Amino acid sequence: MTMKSVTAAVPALCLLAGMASAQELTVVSWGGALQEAQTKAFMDPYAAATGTKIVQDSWSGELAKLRAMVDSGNVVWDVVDMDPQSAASACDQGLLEPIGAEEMFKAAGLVEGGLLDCAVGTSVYATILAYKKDAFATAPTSVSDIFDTATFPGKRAFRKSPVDTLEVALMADGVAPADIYSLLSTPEGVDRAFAKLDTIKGDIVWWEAGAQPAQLLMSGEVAMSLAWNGRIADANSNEGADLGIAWSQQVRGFDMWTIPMGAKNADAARAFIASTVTPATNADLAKYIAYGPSVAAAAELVAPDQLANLPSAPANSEGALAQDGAFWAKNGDALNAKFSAWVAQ
Amino acid sequence: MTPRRYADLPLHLRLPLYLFVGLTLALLILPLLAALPISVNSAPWFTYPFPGVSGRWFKAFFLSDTWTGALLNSLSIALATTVLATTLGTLAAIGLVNARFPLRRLVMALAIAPMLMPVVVLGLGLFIFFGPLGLNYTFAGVVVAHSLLAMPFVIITVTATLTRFDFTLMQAAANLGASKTRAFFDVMLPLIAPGVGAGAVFSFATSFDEVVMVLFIAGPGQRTLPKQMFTGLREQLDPTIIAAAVTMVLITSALMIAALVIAKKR
Amino acid sequence: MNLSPSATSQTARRQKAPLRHRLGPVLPALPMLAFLALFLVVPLAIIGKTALSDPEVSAALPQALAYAADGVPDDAGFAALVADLVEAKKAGLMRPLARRLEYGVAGGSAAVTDLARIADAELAAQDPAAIRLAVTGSNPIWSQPGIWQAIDQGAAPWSLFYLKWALGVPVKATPDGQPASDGIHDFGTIYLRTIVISLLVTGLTVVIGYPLAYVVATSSGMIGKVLIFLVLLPFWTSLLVRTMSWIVVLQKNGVMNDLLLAGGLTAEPLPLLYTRFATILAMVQIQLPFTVLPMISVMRAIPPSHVRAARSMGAGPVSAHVSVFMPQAVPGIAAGALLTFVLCLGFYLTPALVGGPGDQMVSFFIARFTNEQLNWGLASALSLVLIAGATVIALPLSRYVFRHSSGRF
Repeated sequence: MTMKSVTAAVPALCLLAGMASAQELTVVSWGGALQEAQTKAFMDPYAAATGTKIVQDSWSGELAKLRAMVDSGNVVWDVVDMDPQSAASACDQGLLEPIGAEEMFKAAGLVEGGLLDCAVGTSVYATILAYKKDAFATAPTSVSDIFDTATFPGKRAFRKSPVDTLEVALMADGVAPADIYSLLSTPEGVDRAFAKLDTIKGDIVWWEAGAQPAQLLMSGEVAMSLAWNGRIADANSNEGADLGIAWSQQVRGFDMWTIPMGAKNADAARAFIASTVTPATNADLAKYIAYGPSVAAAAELVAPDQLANLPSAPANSEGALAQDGAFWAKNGDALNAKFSAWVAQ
Repeated sequence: MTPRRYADLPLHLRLPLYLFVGLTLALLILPLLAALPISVNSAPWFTYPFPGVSGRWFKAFFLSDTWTGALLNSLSIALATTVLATTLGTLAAIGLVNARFPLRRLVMALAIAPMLMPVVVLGLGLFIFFGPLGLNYTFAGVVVAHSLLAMPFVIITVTATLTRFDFTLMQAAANLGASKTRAFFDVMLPLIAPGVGAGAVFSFATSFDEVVMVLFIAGPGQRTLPKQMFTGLREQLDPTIIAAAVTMVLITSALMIAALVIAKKR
Repeated sequence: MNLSPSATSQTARRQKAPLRHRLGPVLPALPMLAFLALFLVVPLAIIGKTALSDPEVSAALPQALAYAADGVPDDAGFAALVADLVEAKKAGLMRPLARRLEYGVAGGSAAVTDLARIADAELAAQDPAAIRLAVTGSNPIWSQPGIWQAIDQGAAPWSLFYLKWALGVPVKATPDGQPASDGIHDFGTIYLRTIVISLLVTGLTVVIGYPLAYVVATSSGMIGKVLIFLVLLPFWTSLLVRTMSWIVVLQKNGVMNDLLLAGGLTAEPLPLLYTRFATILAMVQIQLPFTVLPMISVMRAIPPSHVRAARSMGAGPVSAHVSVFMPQAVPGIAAGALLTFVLCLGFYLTPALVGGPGDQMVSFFIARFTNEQLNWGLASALSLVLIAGATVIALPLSRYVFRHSSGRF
């Protein structure tokens, strides 16, 4: 190997990397089908319209990464897609710019719950029960059926997180949606949820990334799974899967944009977020993934055939539980610690 | 190599021995042989036989900005690592090979330590150390971390060739009026080039394959091929990842073969 | 390392020269030494420092500390607490404090955030008894001893808290001050698991690798070259690619299950991936070349005449091998096993990708506490335990290996 050619190549490569720094924006989302849909509906149009170079990264919701960046004053993310509880908790910790108070987002006409102190909703998703249609004689009808190993035998997959898992455990234990969070605020309620989970622990497979449930179901590793509805619809339409969805008792949540405190391109980040909550762009996402719009005015722009797959469709809304971001912001640390110790036991 | 003959084992011992060794070699090789060809399967599943052969996964790989961007990031990080690790490692080997000084054993142990230390521990230490320096999420930070892992290989390979190098040649060059630098480039480097080349290839391969340091230290701008593969593997096994793996193996093998050919010519 | 005669005489001359002259030839190594000092020694020292530093409580609650030594304090203690917290909020010390107290007592984080919501200058100005009422009203945990013990536990900016935690000493309490039974990782099990998996993998690679090394070392010519190539091939191939290939082979709809089904060995696909079996199988394949290569290099140096002599004196093939060949191969076996064992202790990637939650080793938890929970203190303490453990186990063995192999590596 000639050393000279190598030493010549390195500065050239560094130059190449440096040239690209015209206007950059680093957008971080959850990977997989969601991020692809967001790329088509949000990122690509914005990049085309403004000439911004969008760098993408994905994460799995681990706030510590963000906290490490903010603590060290070296923030390399500009826009981050979060769930409401992470957003509320990160906001409390001073990790996010308080964009919820800004006029341009207040004026965007977001549906209720779609605007938090530090976060702007982009779409509405639901945690539902997905199952292999050929696995059972009678199809499961509600999310709590995941605890019914007698009627629906086989492995089942849960997200490796207390969020949604504890709520579903209590619903399966007969708690009404309205009482879930007040019960979970007590030690007895938490114990009750874990006791319910204990009954099927041996049958649980854990997933971490949103694309895994469809994969686990299609490969036959599990018979049913708690999953994000858009990922299942995506697997059905794009990967030839034939998965069923039990909508009843869905846990509904928002996908939200946030801007980390001290982001290097915060202004471009604001402009980008604003572009995604204009009704036309906001409604566009439903074309690529089955998540509903977060802007009230966008609802009527969604085609009827797409609407049927959305969490907000009336037929899908029976017994729905709205995820309580504030509850998780307050209790997330403690419940996460308890949960991860329980999983590792 | 001189033929080495042991007293032959009788057949009833040799057969089971060879069978066992055959199975062991199969354990070593077969997983790769089974997995890599799936990159040309025309259907998105992971069993044999294939319904057909197609280049669709490679097409998907090379047409995706995410994947090609990751490949370019990996190549530039690996090249920079190669330069840094090979330079430092070669100089170190020359300085340490015959030297006698206090604490020599400690220094040698230190030089090899990154090979034996858990990478996660090194990654944690660098991550905390880099924080206040602003080196996290930077190209330079990743190159330093990778060089730390790659340097021991360079030291080992260069030391191996240096033990066969006759240091009186350097004295002779000096007597003939050559400066130390001149003597290094004209006399020593050509003779130890195979070791340096092997070390460089090792450095490249180490960096090109590395994922743990990247998970700790890299930012969105240093999204390498292994990191992309790692995230993909945790999310969803997709034949594109296997195409990426094949690309990775081909690049590393091409380098190894090139290094072997060059070494043979010398 | 072999010194040529000329080099030896040079060394002899150098030893008479003053130190300055003797160090001259070492100069080229200085850049690397500086590099290692900066990027290896300093980070390791920082890990040590991080494992021992415990600054959050003393920084945020300098006054309340004095009242925390004997459980729930009197009213003055509560007044000090509120005064401290008002300042801590301004200085941005509240969140780190909440996180740190949660490590020491269940519910500590919520207690701090609840209190922070009401703690302001107005409250601080009231009389201590009213403050006490307001504080215990914000979260009843404040009237129990657990949280005050946790505050006392963090009184000094340096402590053994994280090391104790990493060593499995119970550090967390329930609000009423009893050792908490949940919310704690059982690190004892995790260390044991790490050692058991490493020992199993080491043992398997030695047992499987010994015949392979023997055949490779005793083959010559083309066959020998092909064999060594086959051993080295996976060694050159990316660790990530090899791990990936196991995922492809072992997954539910993968090659292995396909073969098992086709062969009628199983009626339905077996869960092979994300198991202990997958972890050990993949690790054995990955480590086998590391174990085998030192064995080969030692075995090649064993003179064939020794075995031939034993055979000619009437020993059977097996007993000649066991009594003559094997003892001379022991240093190679020990070196290969040691290398594999030490490397296995630090494995992260392979168990993370092919193992289940119950197969993760110490490295996995170090990464998790760093990147997902930002508990650098515990991650650093675990790192210290891992390195110390590996050194304690490996050092005597490495002494042995180096004594018997000088010049061969």
